[in-house]
Amino acid sequence: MHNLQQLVAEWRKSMAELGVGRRTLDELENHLRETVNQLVRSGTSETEAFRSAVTQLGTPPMIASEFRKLNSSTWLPVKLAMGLGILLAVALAALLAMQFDGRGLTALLKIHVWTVTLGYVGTFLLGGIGICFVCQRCFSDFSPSRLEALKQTSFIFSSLAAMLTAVGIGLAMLWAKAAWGRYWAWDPKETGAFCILAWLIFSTVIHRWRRLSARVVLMLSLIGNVVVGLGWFGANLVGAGLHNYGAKSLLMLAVVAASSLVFFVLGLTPTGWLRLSKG
Amino acid sequence: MKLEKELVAASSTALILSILSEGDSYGYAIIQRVRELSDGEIEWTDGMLYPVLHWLEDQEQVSSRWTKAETGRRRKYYSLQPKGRQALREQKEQWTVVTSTLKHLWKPHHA
Repeated sequence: MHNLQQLVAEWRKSMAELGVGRRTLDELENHLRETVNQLVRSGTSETEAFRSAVTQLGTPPMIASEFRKLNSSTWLPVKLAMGLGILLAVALAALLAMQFDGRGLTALLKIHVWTVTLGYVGTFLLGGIGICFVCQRCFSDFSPSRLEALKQTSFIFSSLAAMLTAVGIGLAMLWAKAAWGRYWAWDPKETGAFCILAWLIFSTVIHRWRRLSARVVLMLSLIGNVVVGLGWFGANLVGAGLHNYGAKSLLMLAVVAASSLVFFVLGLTPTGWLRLSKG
Repeated sequence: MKLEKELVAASSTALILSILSEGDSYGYAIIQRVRELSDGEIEWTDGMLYPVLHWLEDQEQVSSRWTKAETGRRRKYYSLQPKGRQALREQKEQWTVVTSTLKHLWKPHHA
Protein backbone atom coordinates (compact mmCIF):
# COMPACT_ATOMS: atom_id res chain seq x y z
CA MET A 1 0.00 0.00 0.00
CA HIS A 2 2.85 2.28 0.91
CA ASN A 3 4.35 1.60 -2.47
CA LEU A 4 1.16 2.57 -4.33
CA GLN A 5 0.91 5.77 -2.29
CA GLN A 6 4.40 6.67 -3.43
CA LEU A 7 3.74 5.86 -7.07
CA VAL A 8 0.58 7.96 -7.04
CA ALA A 9 2.41 10.86 -5.39
CA GLU A 10 5.14 10.76 -8.04
CA TRP A 11 2.57 10.63 -10.81
CA ARG A 12 0.69 13.60 -9.30
CA LYS A 13 3.89 15.55 -9.14
CA SER A 14 4.70 15.01 -12.79
CA MET A 15 1.16 16.03 -13.76
CA ALA A 16 1.22 19.12 -11.52
CA GLU A 17 4.49 20.22 -13.11
CA LEU A 18 2.68 20.27 -16.43
CA GLY A 19 0.14 22.68 -14.99
CA VAL A 20 -2.77 20.35 -14.22
CA GLY A 21 -4.83 21.74 -11.33
CA ARG A 22 -5.34 20.01 -7.99
CA ARG A 23 -9.06 19.37 -8.32
CA THR A 24 -8.49 17.79 -11.71
CA LEU A 25 -5.67 15.70 -10.28
CA ASP A 26 -7.97 14.48 -7.49
CA GLU A 27 -10.43 13.32 -10.12
CA LEU A 28 -7.76 11.61 -12.25
CA GLU A 29 -6.21 10.00 -9.18
CA ASN A 30 -9.58 8.51 -8.32
CA HIS A 31 -9.75 7.08 -11.78
CA LEU A 32 -6.28 5.55 -11.47
CA ARG A 33 -7.13 4.01 -8.12
CA GLU A 34 -10.37 2.50 -9.41
CA THR A 35 -8.48 0.97 -12.33
CA VAL A 36 -5.75 -0.34 -10.00
CA ASN A 37 -8.33 -1.86 -7.63
CA GLN A 38 -10.02 -3.59 -10.54
CA LEU A 39 -6.73 -5.06 -11.78
CA VAL A 40 -5.58 -6.08 -8.29
CA ARG A 41 -8.87 -7.91 -7.78
CA SER A 42 -8.14 -9.93 -10.91
CA GLY A 43 -4.76 -10.95 -9.55
CA THR A 44 -2.27 -8.39 -10.84
CA SER A 45 0.40 -7.09 -8.46
CA GLU A 46 -0.12 -3.54 -7.25
CA THR A 47 2.94 -2.11 -8.99
CA GLU A 48 2.06 -3.82 -12.25
CA ALA A 49 -1.57 -2.67 -11.92
CA PHE A 50 -0.47 0.91 -11.38
CA ARG A 51 1.77 0.78 -14.43
CA SER A 52 -0.96 -0.44 -16.75
CA ALA A 53 -3.50 1.97 -15.23
CA VAL A 54 -1.17 4.87 -16.08
CA THR A 55 -0.66 3.55 -19.62
CA GLN A 56 -4.41 3.25 -20.07
CA LEU A 57 -4.91 6.79 -18.77
CA GLY A 58 -2.47 8.27 -21.29
CA THR A 59 0.86 10.04 -20.96
CA PRO A 60 0.95 13.13 -18.71
CA PRO A 61 2.01 15.52 -21.54
CA MET A 62 -0.88 14.31 -23.71
CA ILE A 63 -3.48 14.74 -20.95
CA ALA A 64 -2.04 18.08 -19.87
CA SER A 65 -2.16 19.43 -23.42
CA GLU A 66 -5.84 18.43 -23.73
CA PHE A 67 -6.62 20.32 -20.52
CA ARG A 68 -4.63 23.34 -21.64
CA LYS A 69 -6.88 23.65 -24.68
CA LEU A 70 -9.77 24.23 -22.26
CA ASN A 71 -8.10 27.09 -20.41
CA SER A 72 -6.98 29.05 -23.43
CA SER A 73 -9.07 32.17 -22.91
CA THR A 74 -8.21 34.64 -20.16
CA TRP A 75 -10.99 36.57 -18.47
CA LEU A 76 -11.12 40.15 -19.78
CA PRO A 77 -10.69 41.91 -16.38
CA VAL A 78 -7.55 39.82 -15.79
CA LYS A 79 -6.13 40.90 -19.15
CA LEU A 80 -6.94 44.54 -18.34
CA ALA A 81 -5.34 44.34 -14.88
CA MET A 82 -2.19 42.77 -16.34
CA GLY A 83 -2.02 45.39 -19.09
CA LEU A 84 -2.47 48.25 -16.63
CA GLY A 85 0.16 46.79 -14.31
CA ILE A 86 2.75 46.52 -17.07
CA LEU A 87 1.91 49.99 -18.41
CA LEU A 88 2.31 51.51 -14.96
CA ALA A 89 5.58 49.67 -14.32
CA VAL A 90 7.06 51.07 -17.53
CA ALA A 91 5.66 54.60 -17.08
CA LEU A 92 6.81 54.85 -13.48
CA ALA A 93 10.26 53.53 -14.37
CA ALA A 94 10.54 56.17 -17.11
CA LEU A 95 9.35 58.95 -14.79
CA LEU A 96 11.80 57.98 -12.04
CA ALA A 97 14.67 57.60 -14.52
CA MET A 98 14.05 61.14 -15.77
CA GLN A 99 14.45 62.53 -12.25
CA PHE A 100 17.57 60.52 -11.57
CA ASP A 101 20.61 62.65 -10.63
CA GLY A 102 23.26 59.94 -10.87
CA ARG A 103 23.90 59.47 -7.14
CA GLY A 104 23.84 55.98 -5.70
CA LEU A 105 21.64 56.90 -2.76
CA THR A 106 19.05 58.46 -5.06
CA ALA A 107 19.04 55.29 -7.17
CA LEU A 108 18.21 53.31 -4.04
CA LEU A 109 15.33 55.65 -3.26
CA LYS A 110 14.02 55.58 -6.85
CA ILE A 111 14.02 51.78 -6.98
CA HIS A 112 12.31 51.75 -3.58
CA VAL A 113 9.54 54.03 -4.87
CA TRP A 114 9.16 51.87 -7.99
CA THR A 115 8.90 48.54 -6.17
CA VAL A 116 6.68 49.71 -3.32
CA THR A 117 4.31 51.59 -5.62
CA LEU A 118 3.98 48.57 -7.90
CA GLY A 119 3.46 46.31 -4.90
CA TYR A 120 0.64 48.51 -3.61
CA VAL A 121 -0.89 49.09 -7.03
CA GLY A 122 -0.68 45.36 -7.76
CA THR A 123 -2.81 44.79 -4.67
CA PHE A 124 -5.35 47.32 -5.93
CA LEU A 125 -5.38 45.69 -9.38
CA LEU A 126 -6.14 42.34 -7.79
CA GLY A 127 -8.84 44.09 -5.77
CA GLY A 128 -10.19 45.38 -9.09
CA ILE A 129 -10.36 41.84 -10.44
CA GLY A 130 -12.16 40.91 -7.21
CA ILE A 131 -14.73 43.69 -7.79
CA CYS A 132 -15.37 42.50 -11.37
CA PHE A 133 -15.70 38.95 -10.04
CA VAL A 134 -18.32 39.68 -7.38
CA CYS A 135 -20.28 41.83 -9.86
CA GLN A 136 -20.35 39.23 -12.63
CA ARG A 137 -21.14 36.54 -10.07
CA CYS A 138 -24.48 38.25 -9.39
CA PHE A 139 -25.52 37.55 -12.97
CA SER A 140 -23.93 34.26 -13.98
CA ASP A 141 -21.86 31.34 -12.77
CA PHE A 142 -18.18 30.95 -13.56
CA SER A 143 -17.03 27.72 -15.17
CA PRO A 144 -14.81 25.47 -13.02
CA SER A 145 -11.79 25.87 -15.28
CA ARG A 146 -12.14 29.65 -15.14
CA LEU A 147 -12.39 29.53 -11.35
CA GLU A 148 -9.24 27.44 -11.20
CA ALA A 149 -7.47 29.92 -13.49
CA LEU A 150 -8.70 32.86 -11.37
CA LYS A 151 -7.33 31.35 -8.19
CA GLN A 152 -4.00 30.94 -9.96
CA THR A 153 -4.12 34.56 -11.18
CA SER A 154 -4.90 35.76 -7.68
CA PHE A 155 -1.91 33.82 -6.37
CA ILE A 156 0.40 35.35 -8.98
CA PHE A 157 -0.79 38.91 -8.23
CA SER A 158 -0.55 38.42 -4.45
CA SER A 159 2.89 36.87 -4.52
CA LEU A 160 4.27 39.47 -6.95
CA ALA A 161 2.83 42.30 -4.84
CA ALA A 162 4.28 40.72 -1.68
CA MET A 163 7.73 40.33 -3.26
CA LEU A 164 7.79 43.86 -4.67
CA THR A 165 6.65 45.32 -1.35
CA ALA A 166 9.23 43.27 0.58
CA VAL A 167 12.07 44.35 -1.71
CA GLY A 168 10.82 47.94 -1.57
CA ILE A 169 10.75 47.97 2.23
CA GLY A 170 14.21 46.38 2.34
CA LEU A 171 15.64 49.07 0.09
CA ALA A 172 13.88 51.77 2.11
CA MET A 173 15.51 50.49 5.29
CA LEU A 174 18.95 50.69 3.71
CA TRP A 175 18.20 54.17 2.46
CA ALA A 176 16.78 55.29 5.80
CA LYS A 177 19.93 54.09 7.56
CA ALA A 178 22.09 56.18 5.24
CA ALA A 179 19.85 59.27 5.14
CA TRP A 180 18.19 59.35 8.56
CA GLY A 181 20.57 57.21 10.58
CA ARG A 182 18.11 54.45 11.44
CA TYR A 183 16.64 51.43 9.64
CA TRP A 184 13.21 51.46 11.12
CA ALA A 185 11.27 53.63 13.55
CA TRP A 186 7.60 52.64 13.30
CA ASP A 187 6.47 56.02 12.05
CA PRO A 188 2.95 55.94 10.51
CA LYS A 189 4.19 55.24 6.98
CA GLU A 190 6.48 52.47 8.12
CA THR A 191 3.79 50.91 10.27
CA GLY A 192 1.43 51.09 7.31
CA ALA A 193 3.99 49.39 5.06
CA PHE A 194 4.54 46.70 7.66
CA CYS A 195 0.81 45.99 7.88
CA ILE A 196 0.50 45.83 4.09
CA LEU A 197 3.42 43.42 3.80
CA ALA A 198 2.03 41.23 6.58
CA TRP A 199 -1.35 41.17 4.83
CA LEU A 200 0.20 40.36 1.44
CA ILE A 201 2.24 37.48 2.85
CA PHE A 202 -0.84 36.13 4.62
CA SER A 203 -3.02 36.38 1.51
CA THR A 204 -0.34 34.75 -0.64
CA VAL A 205 0.29 31.85 1.70
CA ILE A 206 -3.41 31.18 2.12
CA HIS A 207 -3.68 30.31 -1.60
CA ARG A 208 -1.81 27.12 -0.87
CA TRP A 209 -4.74 25.96 1.21
CA ARG A 210 -6.42 23.83 -1.42
CA ARG A 211 -9.95 23.97 -0.05
CA LEU A 212 -10.12 27.72 -0.42
CA SER A 213 -12.25 28.61 -3.45
CA ALA A 214 -11.55 31.31 -6.02
CA ARG A 215 -14.50 33.19 -4.56
CA VAL A 216 -12.93 33.35 -1.11
CA VAL A 217 -9.49 34.45 -2.32
CA LEU A 218 -11.03 37.13 -4.55
CA MET A 219 -13.19 38.37 -1.67
CA LEU A 220 -10.01 38.57 0.40
CA SER A 221 -8.54 40.76 -2.34
CA LEU A 222 -11.24 43.32 -1.45
CA ILE A 223 -9.95 43.38 2.13
CA GLY A 224 -6.52 43.91 0.53
CA ASN A 225 -7.88 47.14 -0.98
CA VAL A 226 -8.81 48.40 2.48
CA VAL A 227 -5.47 47.38 4.02
CA VAL A 228 -3.44 49.11 1.28
CA GLY A 229 -5.79 52.10 1.42
CA LEU A 230 -5.20 52.48 5.16
CA GLY A 231 -1.47 51.80 4.99
CA TRP A 232 -0.88 54.07 2.02
CA PHE A 233 -3.36 56.99 2.12
CA GLY A 234 -4.34 56.52 5.76
CA ALA A 235 -0.79 56.74 7.05
CA ASN A 236 -0.42 60.14 5.42
CA LEU A 237 -3.42 61.43 7.33
CA VAL A 238 -2.10 60.57 10.78
CA GLY A 239 0.90 62.80 10.21
CA ALA A 240 3.51 61.79 7.75
CA GLY A 241 6.53 61.71 10.04
CA LEU A 242 9.60 61.96 7.90
CA HIS A 243 7.70 60.83 4.81
CA ASN A 244 6.17 64.00 3.45
CA TYR A 245 4.82 62.81 0.12
CA GLY A 246 1.91 60.91 -1.28
CA ALA A 247 -1.78 61.48 -1.51
CA LYS A 248 -3.18 63.05 1.61
CA SER A 249 -6.84 62.56 1.00
CA LEU A 250 -9.45 61.35 3.44
CA LEU A 251 -11.90 61.23 0.55
CA MET A 252 -9.75 58.79 -1.43
CA LEU A 253 -9.35 56.52 1.59
CA ALA A 254 -13.06 56.67 2.35
CA VAL A 255 -14.00 55.85 -1.26
CA VAL A 256 -11.58 52.92 -1.47
CA ALA A 257 -12.56 51.45 1.91
CA ALA A 258 -16.31 51.96 1.61
CA SER A 259 -16.57 50.64 -1.95
CA SER A 260 -14.43 47.61 -1.17
CA LEU A 261 -16.63 46.75 1.79
CA VAL A 262 -19.78 47.16 -0.30
CA PHE A 263 -18.35 44.79 -2.93
CA PHE A 264 -17.30 42.39 -0.18
CA VAL A 265 -20.90 42.21 1.02
CA LEU A 266 -22.00 41.72 -2.60
CA GLY A 267 -19.65 38.72 -2.70
CA LEU A 268 -21.69 37.11 0.10
CA THR A 269 -24.87 37.04 -1.97
CA PRO A 270 -25.86 33.82 -3.74
CA THR A 271 -24.59 33.25 -7.29
CA GLY A 272 -26.83 34.58 -10.04
CA TRP A 273 -29.40 36.31 -7.82
CA LEU A 274 -29.64 39.22 -10.27
CA ARG A 275 -29.99 36.97 -13.29
CA LEU A 276 -33.03 37.80 -15.35
CA SER A 277 -35.36 34.85 -15.11
CA LYS A 278 -35.89 33.28 -18.50
CA GLY A 279 -39.44 33.66 -19.86
CA MET B 1 -10.73 -2.75 -33.40
CA LYS B 2 -9.61 0.68 -32.43
CA LEU B 3 -11.73 3.60 -33.63
CA GLU B 4 -9.93 6.32 -35.52
CA LYS B 5 -8.95 9.32 -33.44
CA GLU B 6 -11.26 11.68 -35.30
CA LEU B 7 -14.23 9.39 -34.87
CA VAL B 8 -13.55 9.03 -31.14
CA ALA B 9 -13.41 12.80 -30.79
CA ALA B 10 -16.58 13.29 -32.81
CA SER B 11 -18.61 10.66 -30.98
CA SER B 12 -17.43 11.20 -27.40
CA THR B 13 -19.83 14.02 -26.49
CA ALA B 14 -22.78 12.07 -27.90
CA LEU B 15 -21.75 9.00 -25.90
CA ILE B 16 -21.17 10.92 -22.67
CA LEU B 17 -24.41 12.89 -22.88
CA SER B 18 -26.37 9.72 -23.68
CA ILE B 19 -24.90 7.86 -20.70
CA LEU B 20 -25.61 10.79 -18.41
CA SER B 21 -29.20 10.90 -19.68
CA GLU B 22 -29.60 7.48 -18.02
CA GLY B 23 -28.59 8.99 -14.68
CA ASP B 24 -25.70 10.73 -12.89
CA SER B 25 -22.32 9.06 -13.26
CA TYR B 26 -18.57 9.56 -12.81
CA GLY B 27 -15.57 9.23 -15.14
CA TYR B 28 -14.53 5.67 -14.42
CA ALA B 29 -18.08 4.34 -14.63
CA ILE B 30 -18.76 6.21 -17.89
CA ILE B 31 -15.72 4.56 -19.50
CA GLN B 32 -16.79 1.13 -18.21
CA ARG B 33 -20.27 1.66 -19.62
CA VAL B 34 -18.93 2.59 -23.07
CA ARG B 35 -16.66 -0.45 -23.06
CA GLU B 36 -19.50 -2.72 -22.00
CA LEU B 37 -22.01 -1.41 -24.54
CA SER B 38 -19.56 -1.57 -27.43
CA ASP B 39 -18.33 -5.05 -26.40
CA GLY B 40 -14.92 -3.55 -25.89
CA GLU B 41 -14.78 -2.26 -29.47
CA ILE B 42 -14.63 1.40 -28.43
CA GLU B 43 -11.35 1.77 -26.54
CA TRP B 44 -10.82 5.29 -25.26
CA THR B 45 -7.56 6.47 -23.85
CA ASP B 46 -9.05 6.98 -20.37
CA GLY B 47 -7.47 10.36 -19.71
CA MET B 48 -9.09 11.86 -22.80
CA LEU B 49 -12.56 11.56 -21.28
CA TYR B 50 -11.93 14.10 -18.53
CA PRO B 51 -11.09 17.13 -20.70
CA VAL B 52 -14.33 16.43 -22.58
CA LEU B 53 -16.30 16.25 -19.32
CA HIS B 54 -14.75 19.53 -18.17
CA TRP B 55 -15.51 21.12 -21.52
CA LEU B 56 -19.15 20.02 -21.24
CA GLU B 57 -19.21 21.55 -17.79
CA ASP B 58 -17.79 24.83 -19.11
CA GLN B 59 -20.57 24.79 -21.70
CA GLU B 60 -23.07 24.23 -18.83
CA GLN B 61 -24.28 21.06 -20.55
CA VAL B 62 -23.45 19.05 -17.43
CA SER B 63 -22.88 19.99 -13.80
CA SER B 64 -20.66 18.25 -11.28
CA ARG B 65 -20.49 17.62 -7.55
CA TRP B 66 -18.09 15.77 -5.27
CA THR B 67 -19.60 13.04 -3.15
CA LYS B 68 -18.20 10.51 -0.77
CA ALA B 69 -18.23 6.99 -2.19
CA GLU B 70 -18.87 3.92 -0.05
CA THR B 71 -15.11 3.26 -0.12
CA GLY B 72 -14.56 6.57 1.67
CA ARG B 73 -12.93 8.17 -1.37
CA ARG B 74 -14.51 11.25 -2.89
CA ARG B 75 -15.93 10.91 -6.36
CA LYS B 76 -16.88 13.57 -8.87
CA TYR B 77 -20.36 12.90 -10.21
CA TYR B 78 -21.71 14.54 -13.35
CA SER B 79 -25.33 15.18 -14.18
CA LEU B 80 -27.02 16.29 -17.36
CA GLN B 81 -28.34 19.87 -17.50
CA PRO B 82 -31.09 21.32 -19.73
CA LYS B 83 -28.47 22.67 -22.17
CA GLY B 84 -26.95 19.19 -22.37
CA ARG B 85 -30.34 17.64 -23.02
CA GLN B 86 -30.82 20.07 -25.91
CA ALA B 87 -27.34 19.29 -27.25
CA LEU B 88 -28.06 15.57 -27.00
CA ARG B 89 -31.25 15.99 -29.04
CA GLU B 90 -29.30 17.75 -31.78
CA GLN B 91 -26.52 15.15 -31.72
CA LYS B 92 -29.09 12.38 -31.95
CA GLU B 93 -30.65 13.90 -35.06
CA GLN B 94 -27.26 14.29 -36.73
CA TRP B 95 -26.04 10.79 -35.90
CA THR B 96 -29.33 9.31 -37.07
CA VAL B 97 -28.93 11.02 -40.43
CA VAL B 98 -25.37 9.71 -40.79
CA THR B 99 -26.11 6.13 -39.72
CA SER B 100 -29.32 5.78 -41.73
CA THR B 101 -27.61 7.13 -44.85
CA LEU B 102 -24.75 4.68 -44.43
CA LYS B 103 -27.20 1.87 -43.79
CA HIS B 104 -28.98 2.59 -47.05
CA LEU B 105 -25.71 2.59 -48.94
CA TRP B 106 -24.46 -0.59 -47.37
CA LYS B 107 -27.74 -2.51 -47.72
CA PRO B 108 -27.09 -5.88 -49.37
CA HIS B 109 -28.53 -5.79 -52.90
CA HIS B 110 -31.24 -8.34 -53.55
CA ALA B 111 -30.86 -9.19 -57.11
